[in-house]
Amino acid sequence: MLSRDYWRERGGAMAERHADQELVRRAQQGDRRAFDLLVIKYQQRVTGLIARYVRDPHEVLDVAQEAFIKAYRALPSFRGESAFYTWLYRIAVNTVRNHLATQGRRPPGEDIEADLAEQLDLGRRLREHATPERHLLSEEIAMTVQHTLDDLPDELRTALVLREIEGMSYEEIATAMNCPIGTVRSRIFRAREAIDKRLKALLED
Amino acid sequence: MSEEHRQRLSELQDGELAEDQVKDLLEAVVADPELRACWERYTLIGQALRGEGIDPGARILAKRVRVALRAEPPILKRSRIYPLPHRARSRLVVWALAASVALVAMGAVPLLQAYLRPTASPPLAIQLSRPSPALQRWQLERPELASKLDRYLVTHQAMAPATPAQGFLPYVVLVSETVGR
Repeated sequence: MLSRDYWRERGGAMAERHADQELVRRAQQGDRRAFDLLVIKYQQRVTGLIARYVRDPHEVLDVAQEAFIKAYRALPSFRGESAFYTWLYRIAVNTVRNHLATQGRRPPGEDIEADLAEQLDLGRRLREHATPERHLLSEEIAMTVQHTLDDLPDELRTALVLREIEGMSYEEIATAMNCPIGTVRSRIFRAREAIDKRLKALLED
Repeated sequence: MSEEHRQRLSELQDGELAEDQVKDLLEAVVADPELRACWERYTLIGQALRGEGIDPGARILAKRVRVALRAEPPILKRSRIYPLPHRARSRLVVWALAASVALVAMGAVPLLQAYLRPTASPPLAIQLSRPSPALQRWQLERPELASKLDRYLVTHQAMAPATPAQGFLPYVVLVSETVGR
C-alpha cells in the first residue's frame, strides 16, 4: 500500500487545494451543486475525524452533518487563505467539541492542527468501531482499487499514481512522461474508468 | 451518463477542468444521479490509493446534508472571493501611508512657513482671528434683524437631524463666523 505521508510530502495537499478552488468559488457564489460535490469529496475524512471523538456511528453522522451545515453557512467568510479542507477541519473539530460539551462529556483537550491530523491514520478509528460488514467492505474497496491499479498498463498506472499520490498537475505529468497534456488527461481518465468499473460492481453488490 | 461527462468529472476531480465547462458539468450532475455516484467513486479511488480509511457508512452523509440544506436560505454572493496576496496587500498599505503623509505635508508646510515667516506680515494665527470685512452672513435692509436670524440659525443647526455633527459643533462654526460682527 502506498504511503499517505509520501503523498503529502510530494505536494498532494497543494494539488488538492488547487483542485478545490473552482468548486469552492462556485459554492461561495451560492451554487449548492458545487458544495454537494465538496461534501461527497470530504464526507469520509470528516466522518473519520469525528469518529475519533464520538463512538456511536449514528452520532458521528449527526455531528458530521452539523459540521457541513455550519461550513455551508460560513462559506462567505472563507477567504481562501488556507486549503478548504483545513478550514473544514477546524469547523468539524469545533462542532464535535461543542457537541461533547453540551452533553457533559469531555471535549477534545487540544486543537490538533489540520496538518498534524493529515498525518494521523484516520482509518484506525473506523476499523475500531465499524461493524464487521463495514470493515469487510472497506477492506474490499481498498483491495479492489489496488489490484486493478496493478493490472493497468504502465502508462495508465504511472499517470494516475503521479496525480493521486504524488499530487502532480497535468502539466507536470506531461513533462515527466514526455507526452502532451491531452494524453495525460486521457490516461488518467482511462485509468479511473478501469478501476471504477470494478469498484461500481463491488458497491452495487 | 456520457463518456465526455465522466472525463470532465475526472478533470474536475484534479482541478484541471476549464472554468467555462464547470457550470455545464454541474447541471449534468444534477440531472443525472449516476454522475454524482461516479464523482464519489472517483473520490474513493484516490482515497484508497493514498491508504486513507474508508467508511462505507459515511456514504449516506452527502445525501443527508443535501436534504438538510434545502431548508437553508441561499448564502450571500460575494464578488471577490480570494483576497489579494499578502505581499500585494502590504504594498497597498505602504502606498496608502505614503500618500497620507504626503497629503498632510502639503497642507501643513505652507501653514508652518507662514507662521514662522519673520515680520513682513502678522502671524497667520493673528490674521485668521481678525474679522474679515467681506464676511457678512445676511444682506438685510434692517441690520438689527441679523442677530435674531443668527439665533434662529444656531438653534436650527443644532437640532437639525440631517448632519452627523449634532449639538455643539454647528454652534461652534456659527459662533466663530459671528465673531467681530
